[in-house]
Amino acid sequence: MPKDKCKIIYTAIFTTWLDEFGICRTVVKTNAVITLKDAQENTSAVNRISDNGCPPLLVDLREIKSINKDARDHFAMRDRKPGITAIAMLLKSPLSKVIGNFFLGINMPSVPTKLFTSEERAIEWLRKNFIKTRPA
Amino acid sequence: MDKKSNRVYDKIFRLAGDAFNGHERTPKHLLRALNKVEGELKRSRINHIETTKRINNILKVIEAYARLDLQKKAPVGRSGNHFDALATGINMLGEELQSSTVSLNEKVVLLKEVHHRVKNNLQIISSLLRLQADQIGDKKLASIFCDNQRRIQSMALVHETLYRSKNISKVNFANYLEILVRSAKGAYTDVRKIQFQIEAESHELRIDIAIPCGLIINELVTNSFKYAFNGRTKGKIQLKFGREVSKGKGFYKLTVSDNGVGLPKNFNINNSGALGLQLVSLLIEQLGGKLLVKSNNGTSFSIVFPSMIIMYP
Repeated sequence: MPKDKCKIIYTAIFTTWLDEFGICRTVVKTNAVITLKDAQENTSAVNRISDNGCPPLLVDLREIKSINKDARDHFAMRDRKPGITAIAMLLKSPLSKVIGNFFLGINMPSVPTKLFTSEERAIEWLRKNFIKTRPA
Repeated sequence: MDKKSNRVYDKIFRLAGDAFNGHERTPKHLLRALNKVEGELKRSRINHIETTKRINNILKVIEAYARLDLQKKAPVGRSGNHFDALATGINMLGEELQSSTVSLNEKVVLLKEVHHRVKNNLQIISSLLRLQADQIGDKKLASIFCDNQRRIQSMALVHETLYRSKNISKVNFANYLEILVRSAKGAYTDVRKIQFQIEAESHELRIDIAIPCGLIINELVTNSFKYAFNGRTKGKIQLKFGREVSKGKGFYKLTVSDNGVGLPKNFNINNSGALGLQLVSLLIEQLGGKLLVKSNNGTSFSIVFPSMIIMYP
Protein backbone atom coordinates (compact mmCIF):
# COMPACT_ATOMS: atom_id res chain seq x y z
CA MET A 1 0.00 0.00 0.00
CA PRO A 2 1.15 3.59 -0.65
CA LYS A 3 3.06 5.50 2.02
CA ASP A 4 1.17 8.33 3.71
CA LYS A 5 2.72 11.38 2.07
CA CYS A 6 3.10 10.17 -1.50
CA LYS A 7 0.82 11.31 -4.30
CA ILE A 8 -1.95 8.80 -5.01
CA ILE A 9 -4.42 8.73 -7.87
CA TYR A 10 -7.67 6.88 -7.39
CA THR A 11 -9.71 5.85 -10.43
CA ALA A 12 -12.86 3.71 -10.52
CA ILE A 13 -10.83 0.49 -10.57
CA PHE A 14 -7.19 1.33 -9.81
CA THR A 15 -5.14 2.96 -7.07
CA THR A 16 -1.87 4.28 -8.48
CA TRP A 17 1.25 5.82 -6.89
CA LEU A 18 5.03 6.08 -7.27
CA ASP A 19 6.99 4.19 -4.61
CA GLU A 20 10.30 5.07 -2.95
CA PHE A 21 12.27 3.04 -5.54
CA GLY A 22 10.81 4.91 -8.50
CA ILE A 23 8.48 2.03 -9.41
CA CYS A 24 4.98 3.01 -10.45
CA ARG A 25 2.54 0.85 -8.52
CA THR A 26 -1.05 0.21 -9.47
CA VAL A 27 -3.50 -2.03 -7.63
CA VAL A 28 -6.87 -3.23 -8.92
CA LYS A 29 -9.84 -3.23 -6.60
CA THR A 30 -11.41 -6.46 -5.40
CA ASN A 31 -13.61 -8.10 -8.06
CA ALA A 32 -12.61 -5.44 -10.59
CA VAL A 33 -14.09 -5.80 -14.09
CA ILE A 34 -11.69 -3.81 -16.28
CA THR A 35 -13.00 -2.14 -19.44
CA LEU A 36 -11.25 0.04 -22.02
CA LYS A 37 -12.29 3.19 -20.12
CA ASP A 38 -10.70 1.89 -16.91
CA ALA A 39 -7.55 0.90 -18.82
CA GLN A 40 -7.27 4.38 -20.38
CA GLU A 41 -7.82 6.03 -17.00
CA ASN A 42 -5.05 3.88 -15.57
CA THR A 43 -2.62 4.83 -18.39
CA SER A 44 -3.39 8.48 -17.79
CA ALA A 45 -2.87 8.02 -14.02
CA VAL A 46 0.50 6.28 -14.59
CA ASN A 47 1.64 9.09 -16.91
CA ARG A 48 0.56 11.79 -14.45
CA ILE A 49 2.05 10.12 -11.40
CA SER A 50 5.41 9.59 -13.12
CA ASP A 51 5.33 12.99 -14.82
CA ASN A 52 5.84 11.11 -18.11
CA GLY A 53 9.13 9.80 -16.70
CA CYS A 54 8.73 6.28 -18.16
CA PRO A 55 9.04 4.24 -14.93
CA PRO A 56 8.74 0.46 -14.60
CA LEU A 57 5.24 -0.63 -13.55
CA LEU A 58 4.13 -3.10 -10.91
CA VAL A 59 0.49 -4.10 -11.48
CA ASP A 60 -1.25 -5.90 -8.66
CA LEU A 61 -3.92 -8.04 -10.33
CA ARG A 62 -4.47 -10.31 -7.34
CA GLU A 63 -8.10 -9.28 -6.81
CA ILE A 64 -9.15 -8.93 -10.47
CA LYS A 65 -12.38 -10.51 -11.71
CA SER A 66 -12.16 -9.90 -15.47
CA ILE A 67 -10.73 -7.70 -18.20
CA ASN A 68 -12.27 -7.33 -21.64
CA LYS A 69 -10.46 -7.57 -24.99
CA ASP A 70 -10.39 -3.83 -25.68
CA ALA A 71 -8.73 -3.22 -22.33
CA ARG A 72 -6.22 -6.03 -22.92
CA ASP A 73 -5.36 -4.60 -26.34
CA HIS A 74 -4.89 -1.17 -24.76
CA PHE A 75 -2.49 -2.58 -22.16
CA ALA A 76 -0.59 -4.43 -24.93
CA MET A 77 0.43 -0.89 -26.14
CA ARG A 78 0.94 -2.02 -29.75
CA ASP A 79 -0.10 1.23 -31.38
CA ARG A 80 1.10 3.81 -28.87
CA LYS A 81 4.20 4.93 -26.99
CA PRO A 82 4.42 2.69 -23.89
CA GLY A 83 5.18 5.37 -21.26
CA ILE A 84 6.68 2.64 -19.05
CA THR A 85 9.84 0.54 -19.34
CA ALA A 86 8.63 -2.83 -18.02
CA ILE A 87 5.67 -4.52 -16.36
CA ALA A 88 5.70 -6.90 -13.41
CA MET A 89 2.30 -8.47 -12.78
CA LEU A 90 1.40 -9.66 -9.33
CA LEU A 91 -0.98 -12.63 -9.36
CA LYS A 92 -2.52 -14.91 -6.78
CA SER A 93 -5.83 -16.57 -7.61
CA PRO A 94 -6.16 -19.11 -10.44
CA LEU A 95 -8.28 -16.48 -12.23
CA SER A 96 -5.61 -13.77 -11.99
CA LYS A 97 -3.02 -16.29 -13.25
CA VAL A 98 -5.13 -17.02 -16.35
CA ILE A 99 -5.41 -13.28 -17.07
CA GLY A 100 -1.69 -12.75 -16.47
CA ASN A 101 -0.77 -15.51 -18.88
CA PHE A 102 -2.88 -13.88 -21.60
CA PHE A 103 -0.53 -10.90 -21.30
CA LEU A 104 2.46 -13.18 -21.84
CA GLY A 105 0.99 -14.71 -24.98
CA ILE A 106 -1.97 -13.32 -26.84
CA ASN A 107 -1.91 -9.73 -25.51
CA MET A 108 1.85 -9.41 -25.02
CA PRO A 109 2.75 -5.81 -24.09
CA SER A 110 5.45 -4.08 -26.11
CA VAL A 111 7.75 -3.77 -23.06
CA PRO A 112 9.38 -6.60 -21.02
CA THR A 113 6.68 -8.30 -18.96
CA LYS A 114 6.95 -10.91 -16.21
CA LEU A 115 4.46 -12.60 -13.88
CA PHE A 116 5.03 -12.94 -10.13
CA THR A 117 3.24 -14.32 -7.11
CA SER A 118 5.68 -12.64 -4.72
CA GLU A 119 5.65 -8.86 -4.36
CA GLU A 120 9.26 -8.82 -3.12
CA ARG A 121 10.51 -10.72 -6.17
CA ALA A 122 8.54 -8.47 -8.51
CA ILE A 123 10.11 -5.36 -6.95
CA GLU A 124 13.55 -6.99 -7.03
CA TRP A 125 13.23 -7.78 -10.77
CA LEU A 126 12.10 -4.25 -11.61
CA ARG A 127 14.75 -2.57 -9.42
CA LYS A 128 17.56 -4.75 -10.71
CA ASN A 129 16.75 -4.39 -14.39
CA PHE A 130 14.84 -1.18 -14.91
CA ILE A 131 15.78 1.35 -12.22
CA LYS A 132 18.81 3.45 -13.06
CA THR A 133 20.93 4.17 -9.99
CA ARG A 134 22.70 7.51 -9.92
CA PRO A 135 26.47 7.31 -10.01
CA ALA A 136 28.06 8.31 -6.66
CA MET B 1 -22.49 -51.46 26.10
CA ASP B 2 -21.94 -54.52 24.00
CA LYS B 3 -19.14 -54.86 21.42
CA LYS B 4 -21.44 -54.32 18.42
CA SER B 5 -22.91 -51.05 19.83
CA ASN B 6 -19.39 -49.80 20.56
CA ARG B 7 -18.42 -50.40 16.90
CA VAL B 8 -21.48 -48.40 15.75
CA TYR B 9 -20.51 -45.49 18.06
CA ASP B 10 -16.88 -45.67 16.82
CA LYS B 11 -17.90 -45.51 13.19
CA ILE B 12 -20.41 -42.66 13.54
CA PHE B 13 -18.14 -40.55 15.77
CA ARG B 14 -15.29 -41.07 13.32
CA LEU B 15 -17.49 -39.86 10.42
CA ALA B 16 -18.58 -36.84 12.47
CA GLY B 17 -14.96 -35.75 12.89
CA ASP B 18 -12.38 -34.93 15.57
CA ALA B 19 -14.83 -32.99 17.75
CA PHE B 20 -16.46 -36.30 18.73
CA ASN B 21 -13.23 -38.00 19.79
CA GLY B 22 -13.63 -39.42 23.29
CA HIS B 23 -17.23 -38.20 23.60
CA GLU B 24 -19.67 -39.79 25.97
CA ARG B 25 -21.44 -42.65 24.22
CA THR B 26 -25.04 -41.58 24.80
CA PRO B 27 -28.03 -41.46 22.43
CA LYS B 28 -27.94 -37.61 22.75
CA HIS B 29 -24.35 -37.44 21.41
CA LEU B 30 -25.07 -40.10 18.83
CA LEU B 31 -27.94 -37.93 17.49
CA ARG B 32 -25.65 -34.86 17.37
CA ALA B 33 -23.00 -36.81 15.48
CA LEU B 34 -25.62 -38.12 13.04
CA ASN B 35 -26.96 -34.56 12.48
CA LYS B 36 -23.44 -33.39 11.71
CA VAL B 37 -22.85 -36.20 9.22
CA GLU B 38 -26.24 -35.51 7.62
CA GLY B 39 -25.39 -31.78 7.29
CA GLU B 40 -22.09 -32.60 5.60
CA LEU B 41 -23.79 -35.00 3.22
CA LYS B 42 -26.31 -32.28 2.28
CA ARG B 43 -23.53 -29.73 1.71
CA SER B 44 -21.55 -32.18 -0.40
CA ARG B 45 -24.69 -32.91 -2.49
CA ILE B 46 -25.21 -29.17 -3.02
CA ASN B 47 -21.51 -28.78 -3.94
CA HIS B 48 -21.82 -31.63 -6.40
CA ILE B 49 -24.89 -30.05 -8.02
CA GLU B 50 -23.12 -26.67 -8.16
CA THR B 51 -19.98 -28.24 -9.70
CA THR B 52 -22.00 -30.09 -12.34
CA LYS B 53 -23.87 -26.88 -13.16
CA ARG B 54 -20.66 -24.89 -13.62
CA ILE B 55 -19.03 -27.62 -15.72
CA ASN B 56 -22.15 -27.73 -17.92
CA ASN B 57 -22.08 -23.94 -18.30
CA ILE B 58 -18.45 -24.04 -19.44
CA LEU B 59 -19.13 -26.99 -21.79
CA LYS B 60 -22.02 -25.11 -23.38
CA VAL B 61 -19.74 -22.15 -24.10
CA ILE B 62 -17.06 -24.41 -25.63
CA GLU B 63 -19.74 -26.05 -27.80
CA ALA B 64 -20.94 -22.61 -28.90
CA TYR B 65 -17.37 -21.55 -29.76
CA ALA B 66 -16.93 -24.75 -31.79
CA ARG B 67 -19.94 -23.60 -33.84
CA LEU B 68 -18.29 -20.15 -34.08
CA ASP B 69 -21.10 -18.69 -31.99
CA LEU B 70 -18.63 -16.45 -30.19
CA GLN B 71 -21.10 -14.19 -28.38
CA LYS B 72 -21.69 -16.70 -25.60
CA LYS B 73 -19.95 -16.15 -22.25
CA ALA B 74 -19.40 -18.44 -19.30
CA PRO B 75 -20.59 -16.93 -15.98
CA VAL B 76 -17.73 -15.90 -13.67
CA GLY B 77 -18.28 -15.95 -9.91
CA ARG B 78 -16.76 -13.64 -7.31
CA SER B 79 -14.43 -16.10 -5.60
CA GLY B 80 -11.71 -16.28 -8.27
CA ASN B 81 -11.51 -20.04 -7.81
CA HIS B 82 -10.55 -22.64 -10.43
CA PHE B 83 -14.00 -22.57 -12.05
CA ASP B 84 -13.88 -18.78 -12.32
CA ALA B 85 -10.40 -19.07 -13.81
CA LEU B 86 -11.64 -21.63 -16.35
CA ALA B 87 -14.65 -19.49 -17.26
CA THR B 88 -12.53 -16.32 -17.57
CA GLY B 89 -9.92 -18.06 -19.72
CA ILE B 90 -12.57 -19.48 -22.05
CA ASN B 91 -14.35 -16.12 -22.31
CA MET B 92 -11.08 -14.38 -23.15
CA LEU B 93 -10.18 -17.03 -25.75
CA GLY B 94 -13.65 -16.50 -27.28
CA GLU B 95 -13.02 -12.76 -27.56
CA GLU B 96 -9.66 -13.36 -29.24
CA LEU B 97 -11.18 -15.97 -31.58
CA GLN B 98 -13.95 -13.56 -32.54
CA SER B 99 -11.46 -10.80 -33.28
CA SER B 100 -9.29 -13.18 -35.40
CA THR B 101 -12.34 -14.54 -37.24
CA VAL B 102 -13.53 -11.02 -38.07
CA SER B 103 -10.11 -9.96 -39.37
CA LEU B 104 -9.74 -13.24 -41.30
CA ASN B 105 -13.14 -12.75 -42.94
CA GLU B 106 -12.20 -9.19 -43.85
CA LYS B 107 -8.98 -10.46 -45.46
CA VAL B 108 -10.85 -13.13 -47.45
CA VAL B 109 -13.33 -10.52 -48.74
CA LEU B 110 -10.44 -8.20 -49.64
CA LEU B 111 -8.52 -10.97 -51.40
CA LYS B 112 -11.61 -11.99 -53.38
CA GLU B 113 -12.01 -8.37 -54.41
CA VAL B 114 -8.36 -8.25 -55.55
CA HIS B 115 -8.79 -11.44 -57.62
CA HIS B 116 -11.99 -10.01 -59.08
CA ARG B 117 -10.24 -6.80 -60.12
CA VAL B 118 -7.19 -8.61 -61.55
CA LYS B 119 -9.53 -10.84 -63.54
CA ASN B 120 -11.48 -7.80 -64.82
CA ASN B 121 -8.28 -6.02 -65.84
CA LEU B 122 -6.96 -9.09 -67.65
CA GLN B 123 -10.37 -9.47 -69.30
CA ILE B 124 -10.15 -5.87 -70.56
CA ILE B 125 -6.68 -6.48 -72.03
CA SER B 126 -7.94 -9.72 -73.58
CA SER B 127 -10.95 -7.93 -75.13
CA LEU B 128 -8.73 -5.13 -76.47
CA LEU B 129 -6.44 -7.66 -78.15
CA ARG B 130 -9.42 -9.43 -79.72
CA LEU B 131 -10.86 -6.14 -80.99
CA GLN B 132 -7.52 -5.17 -82.47
CA ALA B 133 -7.12 -8.61 -84.03
CA ASP B 134 -10.50 -8.15 -85.74
CA GLN B 135 -9.29 -4.86 -87.24
CA ILE B 136 -6.04 -6.24 -88.61
CA GLY B 137 -6.18 -7.28 -92.23
CA ASP B 138 -3.02 -9.39 -92.07
CA LYS B 139 -4.14 -12.89 -91.00
CA LYS B 140 -0.76 -13.88 -89.55
CA LEU B 141 -0.58 -10.75 -87.40
CA ALA B 142 -4.21 -11.16 -86.32
CA SER B 143 -3.43 -14.73 -85.25
CA ILE B 144 -0.58 -13.47 -83.04
CA PHE B 145 -3.02 -11.08 -81.36
CA CYS B 146 -5.53 -13.91 -80.87
CA ASP B 147 -2.86 -16.22 -79.37
CA ASN B 148 -1.93 -13.56 -76.82
CA GLN B 149 -5.58 -12.86 -76.13
CA ARG B 150 -6.12 -16.54 -75.22
CA ARG B 151 -2.99 -16.59 -73.03
CA ILE B 152 -4.30 -13.65 -71.03
CA GLN B 153 -7.74 -15.24 -70.91
CA SER B 154 -6.30 -18.43 -69.40
CA MET B 155 -4.69 -16.35 -66.61
CA ALA B 156 -7.89 -14.35 -66.04
CA LEU B 157 -9.78 -17.61 -65.58
CA VAL B 158 -7.45 -18.67 -62.73
CA HIS B 159 -8.37 -15.46 -60.87
CA GLU B 160 -12.04 -16.01 -61.67
CA THR B 161 -11.90 -19.57 -60.29
CA LEU B 162 -10.19 -18.24 -57.15
CA TYR B 163 -12.71 -15.54 -56.29
CA ARG B 164 -15.61 -17.89 -56.95
CA SER B 165 -14.15 -20.66 -54.79
CA LYS B 166 -14.37 -21.21 -51.05
CA ASN B 167 -10.59 -21.64 -50.71
CA ILE B 168 -9.20 -18.27 -51.72
CA SER B 169 -5.55 -19.36 -51.93
CA LYS B 170 -5.91 -22.49 -54.07
CA VAL B 171 -7.58 -23.37 -57.35
CA ASN B 172 -9.60 -26.53 -57.77
CA PHE B 173 -7.88 -27.58 -60.97
CA ALA B 174 -10.72 -29.83 -62.19
CA ASN B 175 -13.12 -26.85 -62.01
CA TYR B 176 -10.57 -24.63 -63.71
CA LEU B 177 -10.16 -27.10 -66.59
CA GLU B 178 -13.93 -27.13 -67.15
CA ILE B 179 -14.01 -23.33 -67.37
CA LEU B 180 -10.87 -23.18 -69.54
CA VAL B 181 -12.27 -25.70 -72.02
CA ARG B 182 -15.59 -23.85 -72.14
CA SER B 183 -13.69 -20.67 -72.95
CA ALA B 184 -11.53 -22.41 -75.57
CA LYS B 185 -14.64 -23.84 -77.28
CA GLY B 186 -16.02 -20.30 -77.54
CA ALA B 187 -12.75 -18.98 -78.96
CA TYR B 188 -12.42 -21.49 -81.82
CA THR B 189 -15.52 -21.13 -83.87
CA ASP B 190 -14.72 -23.12 -86.96
CA VAL B 191 -16.73 -25.58 -88.97
CA ARG B 192 -14.84 -28.66 -87.74
CA LYS B 193 -16.40 -30.71 -85.02
CA ILE B 194 -13.82 -30.78 -82.25
CA GLN B 195 -14.77 -32.70 -79.15
CA PHE B 196 -13.23 -32.17 -75.72
CA GLN B 197 -12.83 -34.83 -73.08
CA ILE B 198 -11.70 -34.02 -69.54
CA GLU B 199 -10.56 -36.54 -66.96
CA ALA B 200 -9.36 -34.57 -63.96
CA GLU B 201 -8.96 -35.46 -60.33
CA SER B 202 -10.11 -32.79 -57.92
CA HIS B 203 -6.82 -31.33 -56.66
CA GLU B 204 -6.25 -27.87 -55.25
CA LEU B 205 -3.30 -26.00 -56.75
CA ARG B 206 -1.68 -22.80 -55.59
CA ILE B 207 -2.06 -19.84 -57.93
CA ASP B 208 1.65 -19.86 -58.83
CA ILE B 209 1.28 -23.45 -60.08
CA ALA B 210 -2.21 -23.11 -61.57
CA ILE B 211 -1.24 -20.18 -63.85
CA PRO B 212 1.69 -21.92 -65.61
CA CYS B 213 -0.43 -25.09 -65.91
CA GLY B 214 -3.27 -23.05 -67.44
CA LEU B 215 -0.88 -21.41 -69.89
CA ILE B 216 0.61 -24.79 -70.89
CA ILE B 217 -2.86 -26.23 -71.55
CA ASN B 218 -3.81 -23.15 -73.53
CA GLU B 219 -0.71 -23.47 -75.76
CA LEU B 220 -1.13 -27.20 -76.34
CA VAL B 221 -4.87 -26.96 -77.03
CA THR B 222 -4.23 -24.04 -79.41
CA ASN B 223 -1.56 -26.14 -81.11
CA SER B 224 -3.98 -29.03 -81.58
CA PHE B 225 -6.67 -26.71 -82.96
CA LYS B 226 -4.25 -25.11 -85.39
CA TYR B 227 -2.35 -28.12 -86.70
CA ALA B 228 -3.72 -31.47 -85.52
CA PHE B 229 -6.88 -31.65 -87.61
CA ASN B 230 -5.72 -30.16 -90.88
CA GLY B 231 -7.80 -31.69 -93.65
CA ARG B 232 -10.18 -33.34 -91.19
CA THR B 233 -13.77 -32.51 -90.31
CA LYS B 234 -13.72 -33.75 -86.74
CA GLY B 235 -11.35 -34.53 -83.93
CA LYS B 236 -10.95 -35.09 -80.22
CA ILE B 237 -8.82 -33.28 -77.66
CA GLN B 238 -8.32 -35.00 -74.35
CA LEU B 239 -7.17 -33.39 -71.08
CA LYS B 240 -6.07 -35.49 -68.14
CA PHE B 241 -4.90 -34.35 -64.75
CA GLY B 242 -4.09 -36.38 -61.66
CA ARG B 243 -1.64 -37.13 -58.91
CA GLU B 244 0.75 -40.06 -58.89
CA VAL B 245 3.24 -41.37 -56.37
CA SER B 246 6.61 -42.71 -57.44
CA LYS B 247 9.45 -43.72 -55.10
CA GLY B 248 7.66 -42.11 -52.17
CA LYS B 249 7.36 -38.73 -53.92
CA GLY B 250 4.15 -37.14 -55.19
CA PHE B 251 3.83 -35.89 -58.75
CA TYR B 252 1.12 -34.24 -60.78
CA LYS B 253 0.62 -35.49 -64.31
CA LEU B 254 -1.02 -33.26 -66.88
CA THR B 255 -1.70 -34.70 -70.32
CA VAL B 256 -3.02 -32.91 -73.39
CA SER B 257 -3.57 -35.26 -76.32
CA ASP B 258 -5.41 -35.31 -79.62
CA ASN B 259 -6.26 -37.89 -82.27
CA GLY B 260 -4.98 -35.69 -85.07
CA VAL B 261 -2.31 -36.07 -87.71
CA GLY B 262 0.59 -36.30 -85.25
CA LEU B 263 3.85 -34.41 -85.10
CA PRO B 264 6.35 -34.00 -87.92
CA LYS B 265 9.26 -36.46 -87.94
CA ASN B 266 12.29 -35.39 -85.86
CA PHE B 267 10.11 -33.02 -83.84
CA ASN B 268 11.92 -31.37 -80.94
CA ILE B 269 10.07 -28.91 -78.73
CA ASN B 270 13.21 -26.86 -78.12
CA ASN B 271 13.96 -26.47 -81.82
CA SER B 272 10.38 -26.08 -83.01
CA GLY B 273 10.71 -22.30 -83.43
CA ALA B 274 7.08 -21.78 -82.41
CA LEU B 275 6.63 -19.24 -79.63
CA GLY B 276 3.80 -21.26 -78.04
CA LEU B 277 5.90 -24.42 -77.67
CA GLN B 278 8.91 -22.43 -76.45
CA LEU B 279 6.61 -20.98 -73.82
CA VAL B 280 5.50 -24.52 -72.86
CA SER B 281 9.13 -25.55 -72.46
CA LEU B 282 9.89 -22.54 -70.22
CA LEU B 283 6.78 -23.06 -68.10
CA ILE B 284 7.62 -26.74 -67.56
CA GLU B 285 11.08 -25.66 -66.39
CA GLN B 286 9.42 -23.17 -64.03
CA LEU B 287 7.32 -26.01 -62.57
CA GLY B 288 10.41 -28.19 -62.14
CA GLY B 289 8.74 -30.72 -64.42
CA LYS B 290 9.48 -33.00 -67.37
CA LEU B 291 7.82 -33.34 -70.74
CA LEU B 292 6.98 -36.63 -72.45
CA VAL B 293 5.87 -36.41 -76.07
CA LYS B 294 4.24 -39.25 -78.00
CA SER B 295 3.17 -39.11 -81.61
CA ASN B 296 1.21 -42.22 -82.43
CA ASN B 297 -2.34 -41.97 -83.79
CA GLY B 298 -2.27 -38.32 -82.81
CA THR B 299 -0.12 -36.41 -80.35
CA SER B 300 0.20 -36.62 -76.60
CA PHE B 301 2.07 -34.14 -74.40
CA SER B 302 2.45 -35.26 -70.79
CA ILE B 303 3.92 -32.97 -68.18
CA VAL B 304 5.02 -34.46 -64.89
CA PHE B 305 5.92 -32.09 -62.06
CA PRO B 306 6.44 -32.46 -58.31
CA SER B 307 3.33 -31.85 -56.21
CA MET B 308 5.32 -30.00 -53.52
CA ILE B 309 7.28 -27.19 -55.11
CA ILE B 310 8.09 -23.74 -53.89
CA MET B 311 7.93 -21.42 -56.84
CA TYR B 312 8.94 -18.13 -55.26
CA PRO B 313 11.11 -18.71 -52.21
